[in-house]
Amino acid sequence: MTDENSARLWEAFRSGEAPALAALFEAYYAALFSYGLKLTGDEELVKDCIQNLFQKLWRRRSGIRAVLVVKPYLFKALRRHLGDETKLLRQHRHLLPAYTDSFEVTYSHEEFLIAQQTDKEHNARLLGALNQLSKRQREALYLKFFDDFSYERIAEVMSLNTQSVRNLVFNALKTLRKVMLVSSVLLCLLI
Amino acid sequence: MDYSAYSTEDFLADESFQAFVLARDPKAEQFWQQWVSQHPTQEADFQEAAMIVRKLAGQRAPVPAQLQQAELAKLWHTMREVATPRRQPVLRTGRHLRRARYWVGVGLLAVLGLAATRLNWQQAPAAYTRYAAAGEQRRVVLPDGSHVVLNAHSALRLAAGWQPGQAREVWLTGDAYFNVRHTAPASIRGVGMAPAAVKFIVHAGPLDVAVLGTQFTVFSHGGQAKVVLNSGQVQLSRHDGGAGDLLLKPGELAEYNAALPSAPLAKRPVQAALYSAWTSGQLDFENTPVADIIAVLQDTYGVHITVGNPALLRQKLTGSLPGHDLDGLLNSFSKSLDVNYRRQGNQVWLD
Repeated sequence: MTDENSARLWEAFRSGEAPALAALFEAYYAALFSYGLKLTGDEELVKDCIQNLFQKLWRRRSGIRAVLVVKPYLFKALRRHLGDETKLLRQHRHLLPAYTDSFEVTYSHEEFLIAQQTDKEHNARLLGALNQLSKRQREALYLKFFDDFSYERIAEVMSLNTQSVRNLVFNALKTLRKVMLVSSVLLCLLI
Repeated sequence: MDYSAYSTEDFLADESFQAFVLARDPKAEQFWQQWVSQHPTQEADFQEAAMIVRKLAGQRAPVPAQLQQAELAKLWHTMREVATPRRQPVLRTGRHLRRARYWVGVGLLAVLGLAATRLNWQQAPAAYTRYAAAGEQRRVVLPDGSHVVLNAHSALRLAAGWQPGQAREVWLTGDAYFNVRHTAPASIRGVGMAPAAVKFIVHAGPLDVAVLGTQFTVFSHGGQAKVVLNSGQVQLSRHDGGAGDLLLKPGELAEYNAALPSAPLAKRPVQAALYSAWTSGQLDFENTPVADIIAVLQDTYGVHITVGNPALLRQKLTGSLPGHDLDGLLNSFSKSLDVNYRRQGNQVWLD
């Protein structure tokens, strides 16, 4: 869905049209679900948070602001919901000190192997390298390459400034490249 | 901008470069292809960066369609609780002023709709959604020339890139009347044997409705779907792949409730014209048994009607029911039957 179309649906939803919100739900459900799953790894929690998020939007529609780009707005809202929920869970279970920004983004084989069956060696290296990055770096890369967000939008979702996101991604890519380079050199030496 | 000092990392982090590698921006593609041909010394770094970007653009694991459908149904449920009656079809009241206003509205909508369609085809070949708000109906012309009338509170989504020779697919939430253009050669007789390229498919909640060229009405709410066929032939199959496709003949209604997956797809004969009557703005009856009218009201307005005196069901009505909302309609209906009606939510009593 183009930004323009979703902004139009957002306006319609704010003026009380339920089908418009349903259309936005359908358009972004898969992206939100995958992102939430990436952050928490908890399917039930993600499902409930997305549902609560949209129900809340509907109940508070008259007080909700106009939004030009809907997708990052929804991502940010989901991220906050998930943060609140995991914080609550932690407090209840007395497991860990409560702090929100501790999402564990883990990349899995499937995501990369679907597209590139042929190059298993390389993929394994990439995956290893990705999972050595910091949590924030992993999240920023996910938003960049899986959801095609610009640096500006990533900054909006993660509540950082754009320059921090640029640095985050730049350093992440630098590390990735180094790891991949070293392992390919090693491989060449071995062969 | 001077890219001649760019290292592999600089390329990697450049948004225009990323857009070029992932083929998301034709302008960027053209620019970078030309750039690399003019800067052969940096080609190695350039190619390495391109390779890494391609690797990073993974694919999201797919989300089960059933999960999304169930969650959407839940959302609809909460949105309905707050909203007033489910649907308010625009019915003709017989007053000239009101009629004039109605036709001006329809005309405006048609013009707006046409303008919007034009714009959409030129700018956004991607999927798009049409919806009708409370108290309005919307006439939509699809790219293949098929006509759809969307009832209030309904949304119709189109698959991206409808090209000739591809299956025509739409997703419906709410109610719609379809008049589908036949694109199959005359040699293909039934939808069951037809190749996908000539089919028109409506995904309505738990049901898939496949046709070649017919007129029919679909009611899709949450996990429930009803299909009424006016002419031609439709093929129904369950979205979850459950056993038993069903062929409908004109004058038949089929319904399916995803909450009862073991229940088979069932069909029964109905007066099909009554089920699409809302599109013309009035319900016309000619010697129609009251039992049939009640069935239509129950099916199309989602209410449950209890009749105090069973003898009422055998009476017959001729004429047309005016009214622009469910209460107005029930009011006229009960008056013509000389009974009283009470309504609480979606429960209605006639006695």
